[in-house]
Amino acid sequence: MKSFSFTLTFFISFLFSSSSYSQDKKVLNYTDYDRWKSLGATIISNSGGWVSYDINPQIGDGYALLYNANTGVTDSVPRGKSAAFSAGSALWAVKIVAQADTIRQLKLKKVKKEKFPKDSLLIRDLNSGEERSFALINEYTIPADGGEYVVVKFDKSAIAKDTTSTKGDKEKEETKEKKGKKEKDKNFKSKGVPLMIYTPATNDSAGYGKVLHYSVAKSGERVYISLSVGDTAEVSVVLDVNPKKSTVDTLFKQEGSIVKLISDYEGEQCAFLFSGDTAKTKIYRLFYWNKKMNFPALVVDTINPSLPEEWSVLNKGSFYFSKSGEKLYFGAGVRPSPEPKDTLTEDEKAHVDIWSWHDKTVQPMQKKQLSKEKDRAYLCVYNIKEDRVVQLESKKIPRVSTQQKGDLNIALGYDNSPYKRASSWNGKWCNDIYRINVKTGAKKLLRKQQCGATSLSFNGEWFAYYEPADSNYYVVNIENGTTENLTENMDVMLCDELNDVPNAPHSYGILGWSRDEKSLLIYDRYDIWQLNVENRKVPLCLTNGEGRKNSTGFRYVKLDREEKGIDTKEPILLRGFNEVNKSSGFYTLDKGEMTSLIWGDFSVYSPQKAKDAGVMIWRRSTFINYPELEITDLSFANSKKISVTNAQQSEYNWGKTQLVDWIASDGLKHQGIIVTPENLDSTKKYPMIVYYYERSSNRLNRYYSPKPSRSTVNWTFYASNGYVLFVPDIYYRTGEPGLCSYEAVVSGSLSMAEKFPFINVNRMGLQGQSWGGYQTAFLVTRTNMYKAAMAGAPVSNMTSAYGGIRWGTGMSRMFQYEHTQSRIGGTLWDNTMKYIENSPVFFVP
Amino acid sequence: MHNDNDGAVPWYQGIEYFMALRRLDKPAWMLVYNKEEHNLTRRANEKDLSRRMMQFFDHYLKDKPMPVWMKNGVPAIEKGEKMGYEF
Repeated sequence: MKSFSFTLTFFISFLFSSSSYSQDKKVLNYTDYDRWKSLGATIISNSGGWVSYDINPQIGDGYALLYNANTGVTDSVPRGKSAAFSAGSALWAVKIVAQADTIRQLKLKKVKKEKFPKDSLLIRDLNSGEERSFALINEYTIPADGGEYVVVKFDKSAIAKDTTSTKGDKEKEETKEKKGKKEKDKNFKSKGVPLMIYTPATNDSAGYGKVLHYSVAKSGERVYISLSVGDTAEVSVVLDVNPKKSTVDTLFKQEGSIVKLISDYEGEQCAFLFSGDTAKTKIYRLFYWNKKMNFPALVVDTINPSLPEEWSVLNKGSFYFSKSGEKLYFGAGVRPSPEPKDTLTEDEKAHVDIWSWHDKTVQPMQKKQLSKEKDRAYLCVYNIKEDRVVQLESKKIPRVSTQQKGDLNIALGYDNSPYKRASSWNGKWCNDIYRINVKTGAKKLLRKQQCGATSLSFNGEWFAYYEPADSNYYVVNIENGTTENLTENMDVMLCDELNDVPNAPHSYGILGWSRDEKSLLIYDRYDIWQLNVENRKVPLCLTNGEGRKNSTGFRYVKLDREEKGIDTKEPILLRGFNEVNKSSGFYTLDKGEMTSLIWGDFSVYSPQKAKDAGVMIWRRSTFINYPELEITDLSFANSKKISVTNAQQSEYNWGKTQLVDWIASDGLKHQGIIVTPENLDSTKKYPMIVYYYERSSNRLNRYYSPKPSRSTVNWTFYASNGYVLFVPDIYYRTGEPGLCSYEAVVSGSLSMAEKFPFINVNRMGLQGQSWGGYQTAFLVTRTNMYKAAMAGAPVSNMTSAYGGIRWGTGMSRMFQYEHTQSRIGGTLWDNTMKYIENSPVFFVP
Repeated sequence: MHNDNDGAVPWYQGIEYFMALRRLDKPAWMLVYNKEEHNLTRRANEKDLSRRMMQFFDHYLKDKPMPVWMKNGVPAIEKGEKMGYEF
């Protein structure tokens, strides 16, 4: 790697541009899109000493960047992607992808994708600074929670080549390969590739050939590897590798093939799917091994008494150990069989879809789900200690979610079949929820027809649910089955206060459970409430009512991904957003005290904490400032910006946003955003485009990168080019979506033109996509105020759209009109005139 | 019947009408022959339609039993394998 301090180079260009005045600034042009880059893939090392992220242009070559928190120096790796730190923060690895232009040239020459240059891997020892790179790699893994080594799986083009190169070497990108296809009849050709376990601290590297699968224990204690070898027939081998001691044991060797291999968390057990069948249609067997065993045990043969007779293990399903390693989950379903021979010629076959009135799912949706439903695997479990296989999912209960990384003995089963047919029009997505005993498979109905949020406490003692019909939270005592209303005495609204669709409002959601599992934590519009599930005392407002008092919504920031329950006695971090002025930031809540840590006129994003240190990375944006990456301690006192993503922005005439409000002709105070050009001359007149969807004023501090439009006006691009944008919030009443849009948009446009003399009321345009496209199409049938309008994908005839299909999912569109976005609030026959009144096509003349 | 490659009347017209009947719980079946036009052109499809159309009328007008395709529908996953002509 040629490492250089990237900040320096960017600062130079910054200097050049900052000397220019805003009237000299360039206007954004179509050719400028490619200069805009985005920052992503942010990670912080467990020690908090290192931060890694990518900066990529929309098209072309990007960088991976590595920031040293101790020195403040940033190194960059051209074309670096998918970086990772080791758990001990001693290693950083990053993939290096081929040059975008190289790929482009190959595409022009119509070279096949398999012949494209392969990735290479750069590994840096963060203690010594030494680097090593490997060419022709396919993928790599660093154990998540321990072990300072990297497992590198190479591409097949690396076979029998020197795959390593030392620092300074050029990447090897030749992928020539001889393929002796003639002799394939007799000899077995392995699809395995080389694999290497490389430990930078000792410079040890152990190589393996013909590797098909590998699984690294998250603890780092073991790597399990399966090889595909053999001369005349495939022989599969499973190796147990201890990378820390460099020992290797062969666990299994048998003629046949392995399709999946998995380690448990600790690296004390592994499991794999193996078939010794020589036929093309193979049936897999589940094998399990632990440290106390000499050989892996056959746990599920082609037939298993605990599974239906016609079932076997399937390659298609999920395959994982529970975190503690006590349970092994796998998929099973109807045993694969060879395709039956045709008895009809193609000419003799009818090709017909039968749409039947009692189909629970309409045919187009069935077709969309076909690949998932065909040969579907149902979740099963092997309880290791009890040596017992249990089927969890079934036709009756088609979806089961395991809890607490599979460790909890209770899983939740969901059956939506009784509610599927009516969901075409009733706007409800309900399930019968079952509690399933993972050890025995016994099922018990926990809650019939549940349509709102639910949560099972982490030890499985309580099941909480929200009931949309009465906006209350209930809790079921799992042991004795009793149900209690937790919120009946609360005089605070727990459902969406701004709901403006003809449907039961959503809740603001469940935060989780207290550490002692005695309280459910929920949100209202602004605050966090603690509801004691045992003695149902008066609910406690954890945020002291500060949220409602200040019109600020507070939401919990989860910093520890492994956390079981929230310790309300320790300080917790909250993200806040003020609905009135759109400011935001972070608070800490400590022993009932709310303290602002950082707050301002910006939007905040994605805080991530270093696992073993009080260091965080986070991002904030305004309309003008790209959401750069910042590093801070938990107090946010000295938060420091560490990235520069779009330094070229200073060369350009940008824009700015301001929050506006007005009383609309519906009598309500609406908010909106006005976007103006950076070089606005308030004595001049500017054309204005009104852009809308539903309510968008919360986007005041969002940064809009100039980029090609998918459908809507790019706020920045238009401001730069001398347009004013107006983005009004719209509130809807049932049955009058068009009129409500008219009331907000027209009164808003007039109000803005009055407030801001620079708006040219004779040059106003409309733009919207989808729901916004519909409103655009509607508005031009009701007013001549606008000179031009662009509608993307508008519904013009609701009487027709009502009976249509959303082809993307295959769903019926009826629910949208009766209960959700289109807001008619009834059927086509009960509300015929509403459908017509709100359909632009009838009013075009 | 309304086929998905109808060049004369948009297929969606048939869909909207079927969806309306289904919404109002009226017994209704829509046969969609794939890649077929306004009228059928493939003999195998013609035979299929002829058989189902008479089964339908026979049930309602001559008290014959419902064939399986009317009683249970034919799930997309069983298309081509189970025709549902049987009673």
